[in-house]
Amino acid sequence: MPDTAPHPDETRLDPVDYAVISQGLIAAAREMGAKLIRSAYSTIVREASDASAALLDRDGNVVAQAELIPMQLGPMAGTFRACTEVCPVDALVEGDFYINNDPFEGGQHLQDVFIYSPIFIDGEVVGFAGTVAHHLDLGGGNPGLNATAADVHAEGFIFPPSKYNFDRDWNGGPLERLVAANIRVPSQTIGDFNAQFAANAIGSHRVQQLCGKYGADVVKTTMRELLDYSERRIRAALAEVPDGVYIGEDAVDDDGISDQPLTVKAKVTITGESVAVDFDGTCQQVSRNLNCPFSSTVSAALSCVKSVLTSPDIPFNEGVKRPIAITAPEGSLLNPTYPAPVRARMEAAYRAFNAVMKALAQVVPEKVISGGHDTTTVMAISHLGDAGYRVYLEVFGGGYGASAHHDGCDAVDSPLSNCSNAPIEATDMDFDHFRIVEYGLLRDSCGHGEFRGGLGIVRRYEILKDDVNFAIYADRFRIAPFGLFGGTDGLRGRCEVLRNGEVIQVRSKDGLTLQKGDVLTLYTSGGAGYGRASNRDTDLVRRDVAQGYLREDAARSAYPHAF
Amino acid sequence: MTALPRRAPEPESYRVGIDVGGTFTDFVLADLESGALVNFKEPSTPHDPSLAVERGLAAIMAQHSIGPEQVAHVVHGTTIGLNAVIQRRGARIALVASRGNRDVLEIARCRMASPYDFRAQKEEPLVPRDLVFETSARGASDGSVMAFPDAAELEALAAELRAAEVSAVAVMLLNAYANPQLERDFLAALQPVLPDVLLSASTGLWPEIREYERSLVTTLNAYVHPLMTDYVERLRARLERLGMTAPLYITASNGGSLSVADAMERPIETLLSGPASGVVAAARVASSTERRALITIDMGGTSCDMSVCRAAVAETTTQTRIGDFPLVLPVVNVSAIGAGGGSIVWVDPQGVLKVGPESAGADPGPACYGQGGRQATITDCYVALGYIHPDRFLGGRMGLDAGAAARALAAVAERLGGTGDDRVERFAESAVRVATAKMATELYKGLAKQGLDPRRFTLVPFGGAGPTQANLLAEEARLEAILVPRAPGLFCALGALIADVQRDFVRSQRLRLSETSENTAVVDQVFRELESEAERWLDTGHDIVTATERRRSADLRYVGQAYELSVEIPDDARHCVDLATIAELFHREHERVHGFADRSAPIEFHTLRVTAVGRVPRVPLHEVEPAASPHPREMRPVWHQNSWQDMSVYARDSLGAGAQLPGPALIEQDDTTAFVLPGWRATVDTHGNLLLTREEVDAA
Repeated sequence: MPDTAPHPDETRLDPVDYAVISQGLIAAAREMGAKLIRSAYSTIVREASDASAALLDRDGNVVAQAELIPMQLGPMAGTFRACTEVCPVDALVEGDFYINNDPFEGGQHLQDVFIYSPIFIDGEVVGFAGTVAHHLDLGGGNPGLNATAADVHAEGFIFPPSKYNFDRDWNGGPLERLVAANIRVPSQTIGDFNAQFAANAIGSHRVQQLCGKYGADVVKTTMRELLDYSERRIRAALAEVPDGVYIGEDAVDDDGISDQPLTVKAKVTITGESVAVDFDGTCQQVSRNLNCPFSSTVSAALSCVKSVLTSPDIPFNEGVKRPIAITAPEGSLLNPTYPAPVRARMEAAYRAFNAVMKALAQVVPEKVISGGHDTTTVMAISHLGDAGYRVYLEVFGGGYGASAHHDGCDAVDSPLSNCSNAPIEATDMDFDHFRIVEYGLLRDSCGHGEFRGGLGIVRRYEILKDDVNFAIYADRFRIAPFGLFGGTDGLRGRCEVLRNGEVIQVRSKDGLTLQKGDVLTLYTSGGAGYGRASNRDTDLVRRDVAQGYLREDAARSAYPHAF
Repeated sequence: MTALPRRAPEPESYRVGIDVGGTFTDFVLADLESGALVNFKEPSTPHDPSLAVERGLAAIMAQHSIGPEQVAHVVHGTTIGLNAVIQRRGARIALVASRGNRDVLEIARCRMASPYDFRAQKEEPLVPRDLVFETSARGASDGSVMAFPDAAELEALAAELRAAEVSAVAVMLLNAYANPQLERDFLAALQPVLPDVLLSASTGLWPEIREYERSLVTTLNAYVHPLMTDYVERLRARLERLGMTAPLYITASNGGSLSVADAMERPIETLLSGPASGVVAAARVASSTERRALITIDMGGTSCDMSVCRAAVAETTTQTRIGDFPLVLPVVNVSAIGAGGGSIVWVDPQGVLKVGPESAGADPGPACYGQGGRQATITDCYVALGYIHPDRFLGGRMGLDAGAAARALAAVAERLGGTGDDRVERFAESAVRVATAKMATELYKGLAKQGLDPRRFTLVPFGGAGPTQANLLAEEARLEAILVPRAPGLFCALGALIADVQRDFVRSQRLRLSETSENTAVVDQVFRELESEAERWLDTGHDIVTATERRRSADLRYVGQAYELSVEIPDDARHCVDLATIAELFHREHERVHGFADRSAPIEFHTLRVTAVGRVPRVPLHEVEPAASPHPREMRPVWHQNSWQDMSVYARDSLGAGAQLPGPALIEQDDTTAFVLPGWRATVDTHGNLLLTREEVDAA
């Protein structure tokens, strides 16, 4: 194959050509990402940016990626390679594409569908344009949340790693018809697939332009150099971290059936310029959908290591992953085996993130953050009325963990995603079976310390119809966000329903039927503090009281030195 | 578009456009009869910018023997409001929100600035939390009133607001976009118990759905209101002292201008006027040529900004930011594509050459300014390469230190392993190449987001460094033509001079686009209401306006999408609101921007808009005399493609209409130097613009 032929490595890449072409590749990936998000239907893609786009070399190494959300860092290479095992790159022709969403073949949950389009120059594949997007609905047992899925099949349509042709199989062809027939809202979901194909096309076009101008060999050399550059940056950063073995542990509240916490353990070993993260000791996979496919575990661990140990300006690509080895025992919560349901994988992914954070706190205390809300808290409030099903679904932020330099942010989404809220006025316009009557910061919900955690939020709904269906999956209701270096824990989240003067407590993974007049309230957890409260600047304490972030009596007991 | 003729303009008069910059305040005075333009620069007076305005006006009128009564119209651009937001120097204001929404500004959209940077912070609200108050007043999405406060509640609220000692109170009631009367009634009930405090309603400014963004519009407006009012009043007093009675207008972010009364009431509409004015000027200059598809680039000290004009008209967007805050008002669509003259050139620890984003700014400025700047910048590269003559910068008013530029560059070059006598020049050229490539890449990305092909476009550079960089950029981005206007360094003042009076009127109306007559009637009714609002506004106190037009547009999306696309509704579809035509326009726009259209999917209206434009009399374009074949003022060595080459240097003001200059060449003028590359040719048109095009390549 041409790829294994000698490369013009000896002819050293001109540094200015490198700067110019590498910028072009990174910009092209970002352009793909922007295009994907703006033209997508799925609210999760648009508002939560739960999508990503990348350019890959012909071996499937991510060369440049649109860094939309941390959770999508990582799974590209694995899903790609599974496809090449089915159909090698050499056998591809123009118009072919790879597709894969299988959680046990490198994927995350089924909603994340990966599509790779080969980029041809003079009949040769020089690389791939790839995208992943979270699809609104891919069929499965229930619309919206299906907490009781017995296995992955109940969660939707599986695309095993495979190769199809756009003109022959999509565009009105048999694959498109098969998919459309197996999903609930075909016009929207097919629209999102088209957005992925359109983004891939623009990425391919950009690479072809670069090859036309500089020659395919120079572009391929630049791709390799980009990987090496990121690897050098990461290794240089790792070299500054003292060698050693560091341990961290956290847990998911429970699996929604029993009260047993689901423990996640991380052992972080730093040796010279490399780091190994091993999740040995993590609990077994569970029967409910809280299992976290291995590629999601990799993303969570990787983004913690990258954010803590290195600077945000290192371009993400496969080179970043080279010095970082991540392992988890097969059959565990963080590396489940077929046919485990995996839809609500984020809770365990966040605990993997937290466990690595706690381990790193022992070696780089200046760079870590305390525990935050760090969960994907989703609520669905649906009603079957005269005009059919109305399904309201929203993801909620909470308090961010404090650092050695700053208070945690109040009311933001958690670090592995970065989701916007929905305007109340938009929600009011769309739904008439409930009304939002309060949306505010939750006073006193933060952990204290030299820097305090961010405040959680309170969201209150008045239910306006009978027989309203309510489902929630959340976490941090039982195990609080952890403080560091003397900082105290954040306040746990909770959810309750006020009915005829009585309060019904809702569990973190739960559902019930609501009646007209019920008042449903969600309190999300606050971020934990960092450092001793006695070191807190007294001006900051007084500001927090004056602004109403803290009640005066709470502030007095946490920070007596300020009064 | 509807054009209603009005009265004729005053004869024998002048108009002045003024733009306040950090270093200089620029003036462009136009003779409205001949179209002759006069330029003038006065050092700025940052402690009171109106002082420089007064001084400059007095000087320019004296120089040209113009009496104050001969000035028909003054248009002024100011950054007072923008600076107040960025430097957090605005007023102490309060916000009143519907119960349960006290934290609307604190929570914002719940996002981190960057999910990868644990130290990133959320934007700090303009109204601290202890100055946000709640009221029971709230509307429903159908426009009905769910709750309204009684007298006791209003009295208690007024007492709290009095105690807060604020200069203004912004009011944002939930769902008021669907019924702005709710906020009007609330203000009417509150004002009697709270006299002497300025109250402003969110829907009075911008009745669009989405409570956070609308709260921001209201609070930003109240925040800059007192500063703007003070400034405009001071400025008016100074003009009166000069004996000037001409109406004063302030430039707006949408590329138009506003009367002082409007600018004082709605200062938020002026915040991003600076970049907008430049684009308006570029579009106007190009309209005298046959070039319609334009990319304007404004390259100043800290960045290079681009804007796309598909039909020689400035285009607007509703997705921009002021500092950290999202802004939903329509503003001229300008985006940063890379380095400015002051951007710092550096080498990262892994040995990769980088340009920006840090900038040396105006102080200390590039190393060659000799003001203590040690770091090499793009301007230093231009000096080292011979593009800029150190003795002729700003018309010779500011001497540059070429030695300091070379020393700063040599220090960085050595970190990249540069050796030899020509290491400075080699490195400087590499840095300019990197900066150019970044601009070209971003330019492509900006166009591709809109589904446009760069090769159709003519580049219109302005700003001090724009014409120096333009040909390099055009070569890299494979553009075919460049139009260098006559006074690119004073472009914002020119944009002010020619700005029409313009304001947008908006209403959120989510409605299926269907064939039913009911929906047609609703859409038509909303458009008519907006148009009569626009007409009333245009009829009030706009004596300088000689013709008006109203443009309809709608933000639409496929049902289920959350991003809208804006579609302008042509005249022939407006009278009967031809929904089928609007649907087809939307499908085509979706296809152009996103690469596909779904003709089977239902479409919905989201927001309807009417843009009211009051035309001010056109300034005729001045023509330049033809001149004999041009003579270079000197030959100068310029480093290009790794060697010194002798290039012809021309004085811009010696070039007459029809002059042809083959590249390579440099064309110097007081406010900039234009670089013409080998293989390109510059032609002077009848209006004195330089048109740069590629030389025809002969087989020979």
